[in-house]
Amino acid sequence: MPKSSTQDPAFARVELDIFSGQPNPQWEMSQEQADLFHTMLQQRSTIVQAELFDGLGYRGFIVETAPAPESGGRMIVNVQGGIIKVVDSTGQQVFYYEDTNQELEKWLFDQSRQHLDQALQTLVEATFAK
Amino acid sequence: MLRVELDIYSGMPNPTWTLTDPEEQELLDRIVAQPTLMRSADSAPAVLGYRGFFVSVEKEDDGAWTKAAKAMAGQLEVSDANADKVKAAFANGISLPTTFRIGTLDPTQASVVAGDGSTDASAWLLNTSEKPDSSVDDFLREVAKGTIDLAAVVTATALEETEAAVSPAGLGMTCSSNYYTGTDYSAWNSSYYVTRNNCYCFGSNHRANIRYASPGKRTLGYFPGLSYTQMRTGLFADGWRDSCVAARNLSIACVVWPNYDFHFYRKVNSSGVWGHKPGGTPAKSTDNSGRVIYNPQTCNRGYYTSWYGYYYQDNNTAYVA
Repeated sequence: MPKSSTQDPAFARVELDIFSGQPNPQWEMSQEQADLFHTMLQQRSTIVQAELFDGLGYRGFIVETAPAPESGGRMIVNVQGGIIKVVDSTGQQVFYYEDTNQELEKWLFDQSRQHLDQALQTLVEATFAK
Repeated sequence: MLRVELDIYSGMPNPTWTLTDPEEQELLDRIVAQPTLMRSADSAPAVLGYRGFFVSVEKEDDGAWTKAAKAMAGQLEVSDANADKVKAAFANGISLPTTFRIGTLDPTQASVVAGDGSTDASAWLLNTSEKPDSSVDDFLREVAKGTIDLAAVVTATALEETEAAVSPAGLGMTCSSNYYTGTDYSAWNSSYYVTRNNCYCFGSNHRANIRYASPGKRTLGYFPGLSYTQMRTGLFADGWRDSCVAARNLSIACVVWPNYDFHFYRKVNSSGVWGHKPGGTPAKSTDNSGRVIYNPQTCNRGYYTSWYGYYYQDNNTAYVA
């Protein structure tokens, strides 16, 4: 994982990656949620490179984090279908982790509920029943 | 006696339950009234999550299904009013199999038939799972019900959209083009560009670095909306046309996920391959089933069920914002 901090990330912005043309639903985590996200992320196990779904429809969550500058900077984290992909601020380093039982994805989904209508919630929820 | 399986898991065994006699009779009545509700047992859709129901004869008994099936096969010696009724209804040759599928499909599947009544049958069959021998819990019921409801909404909206439209625009692949960018999408898929351009940027062949570019935004100053008329307003304002009046340089296809989103495909080579770029993901030539796209109207488009037609531009690039 790129150098990062579990202490006081400046922010973590989440995007439900589901649309193609229109803006995806987005929101910012609270400081507490952002800290927890970093903690959960660092508890994941590394896996070899994995393929993420990149077609039309639900493509998981994209979390953009910006920890304190001295701790390593921005990261883009994709969470989808039991896989976590982390890209460092340069875009050059990519790391993959296992999201066991889609724990992190479901945690993000719980946060997303207040930003989604019922149909979108149902659509995403259905992908967890596999 | 009929056993129902909620087809929802991928690795674990699906939950099952047995229909009561009255429920078996009602299922039979529904199928007699609408035989197309039944699909072959091996027609399982290749999707994750809810995939409908798998029904099988658990035991041959005096239930309505077995009696009717035997009557149809000429094996029932004693006349049974119900069985005779079914036999008469199925005089055209439809049989009552020992295994079959039934139920609303996820709307991402092309075989969904709007208004076929399967959503009502699905909701009813799902409700029969609320009994002691059932391993369907409330969570699974909610997930399945959600997909059934969603299918009902999507198909209803698709019907509405289709009826509202005079006719899908464009002549599709009959218009000639003389400019193709090919299937090498590296110009779009480098780390800098891939997340900064969406499907409309790709369709317009303009790396505008505008993540949410949309029809009309550059020329009208706003995006008119997702209805058929509104999308055309935006597209026409941006210079797109829906008829072959000249040698067209860019050919695109416009589709919509009703009430939520739009998406575009662009013809990329003379062999008839179409490319697209789902949001901030890489541009590619394959659909949601992994098949190369030769016909955007029939390819697997997920929830983008409304077809808004083909559009053309007399330029190599249509500038967008």
